[in-house]
Amino acid sequence: MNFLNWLVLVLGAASATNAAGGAIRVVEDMRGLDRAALAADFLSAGAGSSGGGSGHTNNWAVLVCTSRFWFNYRHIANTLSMYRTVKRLGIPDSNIILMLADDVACNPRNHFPATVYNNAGRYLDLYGSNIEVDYRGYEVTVENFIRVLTGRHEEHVPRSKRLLTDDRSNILIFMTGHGGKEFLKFQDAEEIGSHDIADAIAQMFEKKRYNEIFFMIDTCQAASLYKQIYSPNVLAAASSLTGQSSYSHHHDMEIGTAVIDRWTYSNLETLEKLERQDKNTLANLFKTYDSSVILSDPGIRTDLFPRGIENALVTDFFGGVQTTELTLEMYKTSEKQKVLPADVKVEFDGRLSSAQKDTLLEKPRYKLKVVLPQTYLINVPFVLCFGLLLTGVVVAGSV
Amino acid sequence: MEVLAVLGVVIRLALVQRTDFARTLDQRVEVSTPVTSFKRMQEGVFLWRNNINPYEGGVFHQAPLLLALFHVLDDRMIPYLFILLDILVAKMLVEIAKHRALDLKNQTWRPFFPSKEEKEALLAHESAESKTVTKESGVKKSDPTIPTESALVPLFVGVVYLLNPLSIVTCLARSMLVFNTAAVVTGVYFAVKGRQVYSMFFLALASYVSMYPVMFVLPCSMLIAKSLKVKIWPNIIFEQPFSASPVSFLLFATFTIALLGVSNVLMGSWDFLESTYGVILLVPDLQPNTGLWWYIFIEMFDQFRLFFLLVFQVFVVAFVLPLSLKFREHPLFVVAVFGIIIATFKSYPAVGDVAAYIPFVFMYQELFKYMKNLYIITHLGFSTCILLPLFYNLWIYAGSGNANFFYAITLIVGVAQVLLLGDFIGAMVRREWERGEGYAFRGRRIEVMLK
Amino acid sequence: MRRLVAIIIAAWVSISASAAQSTQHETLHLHQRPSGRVTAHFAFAQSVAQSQAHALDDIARGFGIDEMALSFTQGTRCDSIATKVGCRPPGVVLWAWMRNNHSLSSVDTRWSALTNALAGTFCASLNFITPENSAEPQSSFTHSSVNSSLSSLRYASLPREITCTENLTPWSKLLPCSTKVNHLAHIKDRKMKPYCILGSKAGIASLFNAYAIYDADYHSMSVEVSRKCTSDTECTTEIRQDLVVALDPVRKGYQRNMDWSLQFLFGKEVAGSCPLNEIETNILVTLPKAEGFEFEGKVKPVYNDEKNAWVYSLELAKQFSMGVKYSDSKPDLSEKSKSTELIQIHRHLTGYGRERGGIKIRISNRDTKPRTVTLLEVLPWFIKLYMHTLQRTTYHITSQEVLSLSGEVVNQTLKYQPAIPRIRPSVIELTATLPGESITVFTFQFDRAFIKYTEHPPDANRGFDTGAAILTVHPASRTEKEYRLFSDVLLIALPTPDFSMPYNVITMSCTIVALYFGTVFNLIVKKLEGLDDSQLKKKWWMFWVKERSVLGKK
Repeated sequence: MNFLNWLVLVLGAASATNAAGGAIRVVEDMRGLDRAALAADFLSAGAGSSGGGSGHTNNWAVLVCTSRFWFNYRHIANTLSMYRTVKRLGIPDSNIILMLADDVACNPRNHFPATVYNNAGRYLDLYGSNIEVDYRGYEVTVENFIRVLTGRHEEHVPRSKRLLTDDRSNILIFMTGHGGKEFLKFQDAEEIGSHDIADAIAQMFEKKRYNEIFFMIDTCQAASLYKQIYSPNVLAAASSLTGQSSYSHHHDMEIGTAVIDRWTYSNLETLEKLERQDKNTLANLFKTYDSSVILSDPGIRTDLFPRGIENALVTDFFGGVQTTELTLEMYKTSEKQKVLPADVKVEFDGRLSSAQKDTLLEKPRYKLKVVLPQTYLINVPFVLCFGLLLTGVVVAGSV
Repeated sequence: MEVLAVLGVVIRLALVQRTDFARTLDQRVEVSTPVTSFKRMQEGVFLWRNNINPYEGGVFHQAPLLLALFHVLDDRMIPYLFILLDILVAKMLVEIAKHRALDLKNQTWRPFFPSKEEKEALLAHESAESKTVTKESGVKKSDPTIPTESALVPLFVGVVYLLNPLSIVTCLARSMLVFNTAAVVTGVYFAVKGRQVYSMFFLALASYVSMYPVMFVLPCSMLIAKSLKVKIWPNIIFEQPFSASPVSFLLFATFTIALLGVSNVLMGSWDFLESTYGVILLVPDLQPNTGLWWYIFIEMFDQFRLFFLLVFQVFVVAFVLPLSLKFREHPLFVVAVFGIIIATFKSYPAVGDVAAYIPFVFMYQELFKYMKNLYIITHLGFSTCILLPLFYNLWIYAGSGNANFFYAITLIVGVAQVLLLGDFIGAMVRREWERGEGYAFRGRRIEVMLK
Repeated sequence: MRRLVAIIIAAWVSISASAAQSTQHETLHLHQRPSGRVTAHFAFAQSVAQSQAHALDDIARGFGIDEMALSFTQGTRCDSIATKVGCRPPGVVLWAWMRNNHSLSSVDTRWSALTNALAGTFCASLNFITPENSAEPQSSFTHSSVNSSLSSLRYASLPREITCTENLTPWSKLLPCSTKVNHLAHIKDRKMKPYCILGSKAGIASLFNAYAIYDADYHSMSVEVSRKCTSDTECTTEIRQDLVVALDPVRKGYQRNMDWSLQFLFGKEVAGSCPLNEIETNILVTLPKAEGFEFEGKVKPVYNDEKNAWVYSLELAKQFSMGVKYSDSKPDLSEKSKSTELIQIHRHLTGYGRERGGIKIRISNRDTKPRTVTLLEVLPWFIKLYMHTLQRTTYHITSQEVLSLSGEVVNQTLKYQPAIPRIRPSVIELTATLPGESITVFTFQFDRAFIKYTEHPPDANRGFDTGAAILTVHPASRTEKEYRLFSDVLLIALPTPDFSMPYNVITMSCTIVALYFGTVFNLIVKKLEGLDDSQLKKKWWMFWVKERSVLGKK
């Protein structure tokens, strides 16, 4: 670890200490200290304790673009801009669920293959060389989105498609597409309602799948989509209020479509300037919104977020930064083996799961038979039986 | 009239021999359905002849005995078989109509529960009348309050079937519906004649081919009872119209099980059940037809599918018992009504079903004067005959219309048939009332209301 | 993803620590045709022993796979621009031989699990492959080393699947010479470099540039895994990865000539040979002309007679670039559309309208001697086939006359599996011996099914793609090998209902049923009553009705 990183860690720890009001402290001498108390301090530092620290230990992002077709290029660009931002600020690919409803980078209509730009000057290729799209094309459905959030997947779904969060995860959920009052359109075929989103988040709360959620949404009448959320520790920001449309920012004449939306562009203008250890708060981010430029009034919902947007750092949700505690001796963990959550199946494991037992008794599904003219189709038993039936009918009828 | 009947046959023969209509008609959705299509029968025969189970796939849904029949028949003979069946159907319709004509002639207009004095007066009146009644028409000329009705010409019913373009089209397309119609009409014919065993056997055959003719068992058993029983009092309620029913049901069940058993022996397994009756009941193949089922089950979400399937199937058979009870002295009328219900609400209807019930409706021509909507119904019928293929073409071939066009016309077909049902039953209710209770109001102008 | 990273690093460590295995190599074969097109074929082969860790080895072991082949392709008309290197049809093609008795689960369950695992590994929607659109061919994949009594074959294709950078990224992380995980690299640099860093910092994989690859006329990326066990515990997994890219310097450059270089085509240079000792790095170049050109670059190639190509040898950690300059660099465009393959297959749709149609398959045998071929067609269940309409005609290849009975196709064996709606597709497997210098045409008809509202994809009016037909050409002599040709992919448009209508349809249809029920119910249950004047009483609250008899008479 080089000097700069070490310095940052110490400073970060120090500032976190200041912010947390002494809840976490840099400990150099472990002798004579009550380790259990220290551990309890550390573990209880999240979830609603006095001011400051959010108490999260890992960051996840769920980035969803719900629009299909070439003319919705800007929605893909919105989502990929957010993807780039969170990757740049430290969230690894394994903690990002990226859902893109259509392929625009390798679309035959794309004049610049394997690229997605969010600006007409084409300074920055968002697609890049290291991109992992978890759900693409027809897989981006309301059902899959809710399964990702709630963690209720079908069997065999690979790890990269699961949101493996716990109760100390901060999740950034970014959705963009076409929407209306209390609904968001998925791929021109179905819709998700604001109640569905609220209930999914409520399920996440009950299953302790998040510490805090920042729900960002860039569609028309976006604020109506977060209106129904009723779970705690959820902060929501939307590109426009109910009754207002959201607009695209500018076009690229060679690509032929609009390349970015106004609210996302406004967010990026601020986010692009941030670094990993930035101390800017979300309140600062929201202050940069200018309705006359965005052409709609962004909506913010803070009533479910007791910590307050002045205390929430941007990197609490966009970055993979976490506060650390320096210790000189080892900290012993529990002897018991860590048990995976029940809904995460171990991959490549041939052990019989519950749904498999019936397949063993199934008769073979595929039957490729040779087409060969048969000669003896109307067999003797049939002729006998049928004859018997007819004679029986005639005899009985004549009685 | 005979000329017209022969004309009907000649038209079929000419169209079979001179033109290629058969192939194009077989491919029209209004005429052939997934369970009656001849092209699918050809595919089934081919698969069976070549070591592949025809019931395994999603193409062939027809009864095994029919499969065996078309396996042994020569290709050139098949159109003539269908024409022969049509002729037989017409012949039997004529016989049924003869019986009906006799029935109509013997209908009298008198109260159902006369008091003693009224009874004597009526008997005296009747003996006086019998001298004035004319032989041919059976019309009671002397009583001006009884409507003058022309007698039913039995051959007309046969001509109606033969010359009906819908039945010509069905026969040309070699749709299996002809077998269905033939079996049902034969069953009714034998029921009218009182031959219980034969009647139930043919009805078992009909419901073996397609499931819905099971509804005809009850009215046919009533027809059998009617022909076997002696009249107690002319046109008074037959006290035991259901007396033949238990035996009929037993015979029907026996024959059905026997036919299924014979099919099992032929095919070697029970696979065919799921492919034939399962398809009729569960409607997995959603090819458009003239009915109401296909579009609603295309557009339905999976959670509601089973419920609506149950509901739709129940609605077809829901009125079997009530209608049979209400019209127990007119079982042939019940047969006609069931024909209309089946043609409207079965899972895969076609124009052949309409052609099947129209002759039965024409056996009740005396009801036409009580029907209010006959004009509308006929015009709706004509216009849907034109618009159905037109809008189908717009949807599938021209691409300038969508499914809703065709669907709207099927809705109109449904509305027309429901109107016909309502009118038909209403007319019979009205006429029965006039013949019985309304007798007391003879000579007066009154208002008749349904309460 | 974290796990994959760890595995890759562990793999590198263990590979470099283990003994040398000679079956591992990286080869880049650049083949230029007279029309100017350059096909770059990157072939990577590695073998993973029992003790080593590799994601594909994990998959093969976990699911009991004997052999597996997966390809991601875009671009058609491969046969006219690339060599006979196994042109694949557009989309994804996957087949696998799986052990019958493995871990107590059935082959179909493991097949679903396999497609899901591959979907996660390659960031593709392979999970759309289920037993519902898979087949078990019997005669098409015969010449492999698998014992067909112990293993079952499953085959499926997804013609609609796109290939883009998100598939190339994980694929290139599985390469043998992948020394470092590079996805953190661009996070370190604020500015993105103008080309992509993919896969490897050394070896031919350093040429990978997504902008060039996905601009190509044809690109195909494939993985072949085969597992050989000498005993129960001693198993080796052979992994072969191929990337075929067909680039066109004539189209790309302003000069419209045949000159090209690696920098021109890929925008990058090769960063030296692979530093691992066991992996040889080779670059082969095949040119359309025998003379009249010169090689550019510091290193000159050596002509190898048996491989019929110019061979470059790379040095460790030294940037390598090369190019070709012709004295007469005009491309010969006449050859462009001519294919020199002996056996060709073409397939197209016939008919019009959205109710029914037909498929016509044309197989031509330019060889003078008869060849035995197997045609495999896997068609989805919503194409209802009529096998009694299957017809075959054989023509002579030049004179177009129908061949007489003696010259016709012999030994025809037709196998058919009818489709069960929503459970399995239709499979036709036709083995026949085609006469020499003939064209055989197969036609059959089908009906298009009317599928449910929920079964249509979101862009329903586009239609459904049907997977390619596979023509397996069986070897004519002992020295030849069996090879496979893929036909065109068909786009079949199904009739669509109106998607805005579910509630309306239920309302309207149920109205008619209610109308019927209500009318008939009223008529049955209610009684007719005759009312004359004495019985008609005006209701007290109907004060606006004039007191009069209903019949209009006072």
